[in-house]
Amino acid sequence: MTTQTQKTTERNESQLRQFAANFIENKLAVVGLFLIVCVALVTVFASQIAPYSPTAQNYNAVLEGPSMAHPFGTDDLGRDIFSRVLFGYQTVMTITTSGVVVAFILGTVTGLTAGYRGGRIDQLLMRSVDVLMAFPSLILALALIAALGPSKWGVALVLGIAYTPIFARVARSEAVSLREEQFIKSLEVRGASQPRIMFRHILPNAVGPLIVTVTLQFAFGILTTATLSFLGVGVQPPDPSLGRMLTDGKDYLDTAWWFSVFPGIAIMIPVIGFNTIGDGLRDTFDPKQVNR
Amino acid sequence: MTAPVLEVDGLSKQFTVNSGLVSRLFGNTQEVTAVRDVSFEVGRGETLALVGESGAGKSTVGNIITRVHEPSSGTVRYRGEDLHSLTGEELMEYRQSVQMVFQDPYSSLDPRYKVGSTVAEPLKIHTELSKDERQERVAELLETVNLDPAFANRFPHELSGGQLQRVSIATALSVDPDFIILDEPVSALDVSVQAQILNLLMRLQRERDLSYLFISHDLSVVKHLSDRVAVMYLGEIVERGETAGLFEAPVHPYTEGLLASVPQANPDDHRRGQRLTGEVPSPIDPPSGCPFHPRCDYATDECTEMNPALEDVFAGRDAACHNWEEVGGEAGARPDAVTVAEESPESED
Amino acid sequence: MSSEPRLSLQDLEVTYTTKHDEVTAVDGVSVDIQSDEIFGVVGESGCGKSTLANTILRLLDDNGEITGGEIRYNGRDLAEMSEKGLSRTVRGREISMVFQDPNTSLDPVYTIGQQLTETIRQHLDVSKQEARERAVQSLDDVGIPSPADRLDDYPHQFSGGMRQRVVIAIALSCNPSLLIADEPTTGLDVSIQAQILDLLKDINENRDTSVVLITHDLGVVAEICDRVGVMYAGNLVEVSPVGVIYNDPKHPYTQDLLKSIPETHDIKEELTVIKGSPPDLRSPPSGCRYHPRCSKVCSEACETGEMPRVYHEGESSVRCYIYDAAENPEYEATTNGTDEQSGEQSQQTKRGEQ
Repeated sequence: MTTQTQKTTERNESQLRQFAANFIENKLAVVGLFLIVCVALVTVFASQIAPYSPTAQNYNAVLEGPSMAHPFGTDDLGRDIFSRVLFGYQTVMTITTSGVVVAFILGTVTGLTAGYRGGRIDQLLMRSVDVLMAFPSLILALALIAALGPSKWGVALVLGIAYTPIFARVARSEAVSLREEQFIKSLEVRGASQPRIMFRHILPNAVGPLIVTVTLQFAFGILTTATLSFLGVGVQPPDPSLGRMLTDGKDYLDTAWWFSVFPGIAIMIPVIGFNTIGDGLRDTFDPKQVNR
Repeated sequence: MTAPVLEVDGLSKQFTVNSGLVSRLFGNTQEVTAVRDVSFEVGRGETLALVGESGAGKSTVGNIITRVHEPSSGTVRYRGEDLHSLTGEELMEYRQSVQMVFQDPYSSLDPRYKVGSTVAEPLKIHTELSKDERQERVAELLETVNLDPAFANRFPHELSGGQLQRVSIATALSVDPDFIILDEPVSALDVSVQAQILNLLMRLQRERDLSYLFISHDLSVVKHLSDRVAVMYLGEIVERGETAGLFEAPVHPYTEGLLASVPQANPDDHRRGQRLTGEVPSPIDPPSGCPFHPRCDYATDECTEMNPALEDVFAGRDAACHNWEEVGGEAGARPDAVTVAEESPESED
Repeated sequence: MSSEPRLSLQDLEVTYTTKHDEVTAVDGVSVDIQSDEIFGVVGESGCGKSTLANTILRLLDDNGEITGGEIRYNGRDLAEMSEKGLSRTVRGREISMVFQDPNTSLDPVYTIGQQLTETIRQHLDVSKQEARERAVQSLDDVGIPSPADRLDDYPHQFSGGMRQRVVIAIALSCNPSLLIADEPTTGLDVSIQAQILDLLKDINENRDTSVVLITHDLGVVAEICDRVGVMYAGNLVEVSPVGVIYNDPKHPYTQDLLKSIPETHDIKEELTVIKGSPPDLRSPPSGCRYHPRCSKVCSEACETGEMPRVYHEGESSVRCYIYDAAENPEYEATTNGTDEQSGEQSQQTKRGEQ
């Protein structure tokens, strides 16, 4: 018994190791992963790392350039930009993560149901998804924010709704092709229940494309969150926000470049990271590379 | 024959094609008849083979029996119970009693589940066994199909085609079925592996008194494994009878042509008889009268107008052909046939 | 047999390199394809028969490579020829190929007329009009009714069997001297299969075209082939005239294979099976690659020696130690196929190993 379980875990591990080995061969994706790990650490430990409070104003140090005391310089109210970037990460990552999780759950359930059940249910669900899809996600987000009022959780919910169609489509297309697989058919013939088939068999087999979508949507989510803040409808002050810092900084571009450049770079890093990871995962999940 | 386990009576199935939104709005749909008025019985411990070329409707019949599709008309009775009246408990019992083995061993197992979990899945659905009991049962089942029980911890991609097909069979056996539908179970396998699986299927049938519905296009395998054969063409059964007799002396021109088309693994024994010319017509626009008449050398005017019914042509043989007596040349091969009374015109659809 | 062979493979070796392994998919295959014969290559999946077919026209995947041997055709070695020369003068012109799946062998966006004339004009210096006439002739040759009218049809307007005929028509349009057909009837219904096989036979009889037919189906081979090569795990283990293959097979694998098909048994009789399954070519067995499954292991060399060399036995060539007088004491040269010299040779090889 114990030896059996042992063997099992070993095999699972070796499969995972194989996957990791394939992933690591994609150098760009590894760089992306490194960037994301850094961002994640910085986000989690923002309050430990940040030398100042993100809202602490210091009128003796207004618009100071990068220095040892203020690595990214200070803004027009004398706040430390480095600290604000760190806390800005916290805000943007919280929003994006919540948004993507909401979209993943809503979209996957919708897509799996539509794809697996087919027929009228498919038509109904996917036409609703198409309606959502017909709006550019930013416009949709703006409209929803206008209705909900600007707030951190409002933005998260908006992201969740705006990205649901993407997950729904990916999940549906996977479900449609998996539905035709004989092992699904044989489960039906053997009397397995529909939820069991959908969540125990179709979902695990569709997980690759979904994970790729998650990483790519993270990149978009960060951008959208920043954009909404840039437009002034996202996170409201005094919460530090990378997008808002860009807006505020743009007026000082010729005198205090650091004010907007550092937040800009800060936005770029996770976006590039998630994109390269997404591409790397896509290649790794590609069935053509699976050894058989 | 003992009381049949499975009785199929007058089964028909129409599919709607071209079901786009626009055509549906204008009621502009086309019906395709995949199966038309098919009847047969399978007895306990017996193998009935459904043979035919692609588009013959043999897989649709299998799908109706497993309730993947609903029939448009006709009934399927399992141990006397009408299959389509079964609900709840009874339906679960039916799903336990009737199992299926599919053609492609590589796609019939969930690639993310270990072999042991796949074999145990029906046990989870249909029984109350504990985890340990299930594992024990899985080990037994794998041994039954001549696999090392250690295979339970492997993933499907680590197994060969033949091994996977054994796992599929073990999964089907896990809930002690009485009836197994074998949908082309060996056609994806290599010759040497095919022999192993056929032996296994024959042994299991003997040991467990299983009934098989064997769906196949491979006539040499069908000849070897089945007790009776039903030959399908464009959704209809055109000839039905004991395997040996049917292969020896077919009375339907299609069966004759089909048998003549099978390459024989013997260069000295080349195919005899009339081979099939032309191709299977589209089921969307089937020929009038007998569906086989455009390819048939025996066709007469009658055949273009009236579809012959499947009738008892002599003891143990049914055929749907107006001119069956002409088929095969010398009539000596078959028992003295009772001259069939005039074909009763049968209204199809 | 006195005339020069049309195609001669000598000691051909093909290796696939994957990230983790090297796989020798075709290992030391030597065979002559005579003019005007249909030569069948049979074997189970993974035995290297399709690789062999693709190798002749050097259509290997990127990770496949000819690592040894020659492909002699018309005084040239195709293995050494430039890619450009091969495309211009050999592929589709002198040697053409028919693949298994007619649905993916034709480009769905061009009419079959366009696809035919494209091939013809690529290889022959003819006008558009002449090419069209030739195309019609090709379609007519493969039995497509009213070919002139069908020239402007798209592939989807043809049925599966007709599509395979079109593929064959394209392959024949430049009058090749060798046609390689890789599982041309797999996936087709038996009645269509019979028609396509008749067509191949007809082509072989009425033109100066040799056919190499790759298949897994022993029935298909018996039906139309003149000689047969049996492949196992990358080796060509037996080459015999078709009658010998079925009535007096020489190699134990061929014997076992024939014994395992239902045709050689009574109804419901237990089939004779070959134990085990084909080897993983990433780590092939030592000695003769068939020995772990062989029912006739006759000497130590089977298990530990080299893969046996080719022995000539009557009209057959066999790679099996049974036919080696030095290794198999029970061997009596029933025919004078094996001469003194070959016995000595193998002894020398043996000594060399030790």
